[in-house]
Amino acid sequence: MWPVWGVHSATISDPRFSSSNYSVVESEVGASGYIDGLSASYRLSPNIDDGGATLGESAGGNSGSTSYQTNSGFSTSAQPTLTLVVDTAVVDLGILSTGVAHTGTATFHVMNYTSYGYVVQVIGPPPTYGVEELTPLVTDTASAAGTEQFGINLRANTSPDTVGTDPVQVPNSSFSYGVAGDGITGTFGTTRPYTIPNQYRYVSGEIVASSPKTSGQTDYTISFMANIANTTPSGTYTGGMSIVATGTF
Amino acid sequence: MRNQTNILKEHYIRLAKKTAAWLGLVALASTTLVASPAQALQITNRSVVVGSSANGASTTYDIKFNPGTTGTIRAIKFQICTSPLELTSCTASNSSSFLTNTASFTAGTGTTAPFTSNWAEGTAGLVPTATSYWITYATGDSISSGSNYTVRISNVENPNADNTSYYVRIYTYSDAAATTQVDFGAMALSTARQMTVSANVQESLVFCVGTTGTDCTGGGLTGNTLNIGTGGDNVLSTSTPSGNISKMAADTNATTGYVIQYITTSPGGTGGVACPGSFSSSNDCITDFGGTAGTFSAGVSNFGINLRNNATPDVGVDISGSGSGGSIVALQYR
Repeated sequence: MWPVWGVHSATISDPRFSSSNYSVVESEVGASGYIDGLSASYRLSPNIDDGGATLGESAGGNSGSTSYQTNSGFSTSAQPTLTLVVDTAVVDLGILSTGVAHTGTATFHVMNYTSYGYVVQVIGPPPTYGVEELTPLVTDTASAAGTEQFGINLRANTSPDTVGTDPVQVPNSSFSYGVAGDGITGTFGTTRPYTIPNQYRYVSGEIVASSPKTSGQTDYTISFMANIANTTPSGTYTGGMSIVATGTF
Repeated sequence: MRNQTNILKEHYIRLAKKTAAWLGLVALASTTLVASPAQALQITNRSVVVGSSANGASTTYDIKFNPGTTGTIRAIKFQICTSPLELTSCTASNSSSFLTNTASFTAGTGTTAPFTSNWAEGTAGLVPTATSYWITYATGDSISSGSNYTVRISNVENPNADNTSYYVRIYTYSDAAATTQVDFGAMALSTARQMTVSANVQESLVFCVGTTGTDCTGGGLTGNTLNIGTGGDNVLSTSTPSGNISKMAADTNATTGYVIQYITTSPGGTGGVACPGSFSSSNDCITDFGGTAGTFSAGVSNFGINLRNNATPDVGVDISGSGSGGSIVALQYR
């Protein structure tokens, strides 16, 4: 007798493939993530996360290349996902001095799925008092005490302080691929903006981090650096900054 | 031992079961082979660049996409929802809205052709709602799946919670009434907690005086005794004026700058009476040159200063440094 897969005959309640030594129980026809096959009486439905009713086990398999990644299995989500969590609300650089740079850090993390990757921008003016902005560094530049400067990077630094951390992949680099910088310009770590240790830069709206493909969670640390000159006007300088993550799906 | 009747009975029962099974399989196959409702093609290379990720912000949404189908479209619907699924009803994400701040379609900067002309916000049944926003063009434009397009919608209200994931959906239609869908796509976005970076710069005035040194750094200027006579005996002469230099350095971040005043006292003149001049002995005074700058003459008792490089006597250095400080006295003394 031919095995019937799971649905029709009322007398068959537990169809299985079997031999004298092995059997496959609860065999099922796989469902796509998006399309319902249905009639008045029967329905093949995707996973509940995809708008259907749970059907079958989840099984996952990942394969990827530099630019692409695929997850395959019985029940993988078709939903695009972008998660951006900014942990730090205030970065206080303290009382600035002409004799020594001041630094600070902020952290955020990004995760996204079913995408071609993402980019992260920082948008907003540098710390400002009235009309006076702390001079933002428009090219990646080392700290110089006594010269008015404001900049950031997303690397572990030793100058002017031990400050910052390289991006951290969660749980590890087999699942997450976020990096400092835009992934395109120049060479990472030497000429690519925001990726050069001990050099800082700030241009509002530039890409400071990215992932080339779907990625698990990457934890980022922004390092802030500020110097003043002896002519930098006194006052409390503040700057509101917005971190924006954009995924391409 | 089974008789022929029983054998035949079992045979026909098995045959009936087989037939039933095959009929069931055919029924199943026939139903599963019935075409499902046609699905729109996927819009590709799609993203939304927001002007701000702040919760509740009214901001621009630059919606970028490649259509799934090359062809003429006459309407596009954009939605902000809690789900990206095409067949799931759209629910606003934490009060996200096209209505609150009167979202508007920007045909100019930020939007790419062909949407930069003829396209306009939907009307008559396609007016904006909290979750949906249409743009339409009755004649339509042909768009290519190989090209990326951008439509900017301004004054869109973000969800009013930090670090919140939400979705934008795009539907394209071949008719201006948005009843015949062509393609669909969805994108994930996220609000984020905003950061404030702050720093304090204190008022600063640095000033130092001395006879040697270059500026106020390190040990600063040193020395507090100045001989303005000549020779080892430090003698003033009636035949020629003499002088010497002291130094001072100053910097400030005061927005209106600084002033430096030279205030002197002298020990006393004849009979202990305070000397009107800056320069005196116990018996006599050397008179200040006065409030009007002028040149010194040998044989005339005068005391004065300036902040310049002088020829007569040959003494002094012009002001130097990166600052903007200056002297109010020219090449004369007062």
